[in-house]
Amino acid sequence: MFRNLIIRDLKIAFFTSTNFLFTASFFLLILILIPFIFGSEIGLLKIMFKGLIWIALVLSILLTLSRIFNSDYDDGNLDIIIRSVSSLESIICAKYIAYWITNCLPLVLFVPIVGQLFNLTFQETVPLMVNLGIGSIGMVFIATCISALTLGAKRTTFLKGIIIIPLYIPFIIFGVDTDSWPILIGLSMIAFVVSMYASIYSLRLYGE
Amino acid sequence: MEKLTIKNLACKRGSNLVFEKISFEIKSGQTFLIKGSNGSGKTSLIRTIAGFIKPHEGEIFFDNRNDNDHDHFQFIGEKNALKDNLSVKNNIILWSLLFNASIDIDDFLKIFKLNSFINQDVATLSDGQKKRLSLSRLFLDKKLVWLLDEPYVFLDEQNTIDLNNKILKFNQEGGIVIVTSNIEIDFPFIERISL
Repeated sequence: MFRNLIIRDLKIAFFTSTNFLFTASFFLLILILIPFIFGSEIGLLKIMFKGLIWIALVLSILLTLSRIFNSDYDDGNLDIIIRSVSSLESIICAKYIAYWITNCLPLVLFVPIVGQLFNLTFQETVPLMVNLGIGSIGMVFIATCISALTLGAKRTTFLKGIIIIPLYIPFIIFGVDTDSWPILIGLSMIAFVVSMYASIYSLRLYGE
Repeated sequence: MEKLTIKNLACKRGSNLVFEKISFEIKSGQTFLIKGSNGSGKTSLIRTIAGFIKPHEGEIFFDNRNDNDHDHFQFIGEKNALKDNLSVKNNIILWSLLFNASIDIDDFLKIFKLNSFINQDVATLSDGQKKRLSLSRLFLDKKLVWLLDEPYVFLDEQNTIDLNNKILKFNQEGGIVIVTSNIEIDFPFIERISL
């Protein structure tokens, strides 16, 4: 059932306009806007690109946060999910994986392509991809936890943003430094423990 | 013969006691009605039986066991569990993954006469059609107990009769059904409680 839940979430992303291409296009469009604002000086754009990919990732997560648990809660599918999957841990892990694949993996894979627009070589984009890949996993853990904790609360889009952005600051600080991937692994592991505990607690209270 | 026993059940939502001292017993082949006005606690009671809400007091036994095994229960709630922006077919594909069921979608939709809507977006269906589609989930998986929260809402007379016939057939096969409703239903319920 764990596998089925992942496939189900991937199918939802595929069936709707919220598919992988949509996320990657969103990422590309945000980055394309930047030269219009700051000019086309190559050196400056190269430096900015490292930070901008993280801003694009944060925005992408914020815009799609409600897909993790809230949409299933609102339409009643969460009842079926909780009944069909044997443990809450499995549900949460399946959500981590499906959400990362649909929302973060396309961005990571898109970095070398978009990097070309900013005059970055493939070798220069590899450390960025590694950092973005590791950091985004930790950021998904946090997003899942916030989505579970705000289950049932209405009109929380801004509240979620206010809660989540400060929690992403450490990831962005170490994410832009290409040698800091071990710290990002550490941060992601801490995020996993906290997220799993808080998400389970929240899903247990779900019926209440 | 299976038996569902509810003993001294009480439910608290926050500091508010929704209901208390609810006791009844349903045997295999019977249908039980929980009747009450809006906000009387029908949904809380059926969700407690389904295992979504932890009882404040009391116990639920199925087959003389209270091991919190809710695998025998098929719960259809007030919400239809449908993704409005997806087609009927895609919604059924998603359900079949959650129920781990391999089904013929055309045959499945014939149960509630919805096969002509297979490629239509759920958002374009009427409330009654959505309700019938939601109720068809009962046939995705063979369970011993159906827990139906307000199943008659939005159903017209003919579809109400259809649903009742399906409940009677399930009863004849030995199934147990609990139904909540705020309106009077013409159905031979074995017993009823009013909240």
